[in-house]
Amino acid sequence: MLSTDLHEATVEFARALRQSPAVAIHGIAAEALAADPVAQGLLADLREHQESLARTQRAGLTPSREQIDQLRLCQAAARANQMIMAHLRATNEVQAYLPTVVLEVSAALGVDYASLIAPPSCC
Amino acid sequence: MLHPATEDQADFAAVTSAAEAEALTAASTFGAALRASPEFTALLAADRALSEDAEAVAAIEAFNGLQAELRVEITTGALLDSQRVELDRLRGAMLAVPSVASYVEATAAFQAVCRETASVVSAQIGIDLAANCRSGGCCG
Repeated sequence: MLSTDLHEATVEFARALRQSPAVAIHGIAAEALAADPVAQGLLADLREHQESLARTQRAGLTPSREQIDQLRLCQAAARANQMIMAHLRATNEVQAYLPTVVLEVSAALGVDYASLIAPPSCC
Repeated sequence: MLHPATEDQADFAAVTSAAEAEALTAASTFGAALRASPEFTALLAADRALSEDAEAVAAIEAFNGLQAELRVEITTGALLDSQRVELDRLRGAMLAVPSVASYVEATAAFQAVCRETASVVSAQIGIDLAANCRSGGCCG
């Protein structure tokens, strides 16, 4: 349970982050992607083919030429979709931006905040 | 006089820059609030007590020394039973030193606070902060 002061500072930090260009654009791109049935269909196809290929490999078998060709077609279709690519670009931007802000948290704290919040499974 | 499109771009750049500056200021304030938390104060005290405790320092050095010596065996999974037993013994001895136990406890408590703040931020921004706050991913 966070103290009131810390909770307020956390919420204010989140609010400022949400208004930063990288996070705001990512939010818009994520909403647009979620609302686009074509893009969702392409992503579902891609996941399905990736999982099929992974299942084949887990079973110790070599994926067929057809499986590989199908996956490549799905990848090409996803890359040609503007919504998916816009979301990918926004994700890359936000992944480049967040570490710079977290460095500022660490500088004020005097300890590496990123290490402290890393998931237990993280290397 | 600037071309209207150029003026728009300049306005956008100014707004963008202001929002980024505000986020950095909020990040700094947030870091200071974390630093002022009782859990961080307790961690600093535990760290100080640990570094002043000769028994703790010796126990940590003994464990770290053997761990470094056996790094290859540990990483390749080639640890002998006798080596594992010795490593466990030294780990147990280290954790049994009261100042080490207090330090471990204080670290876990502060880490829990930090993770709770990260959850709040993640929920508000719709992005997993812990997974995306290091360049190269969580292990970056």
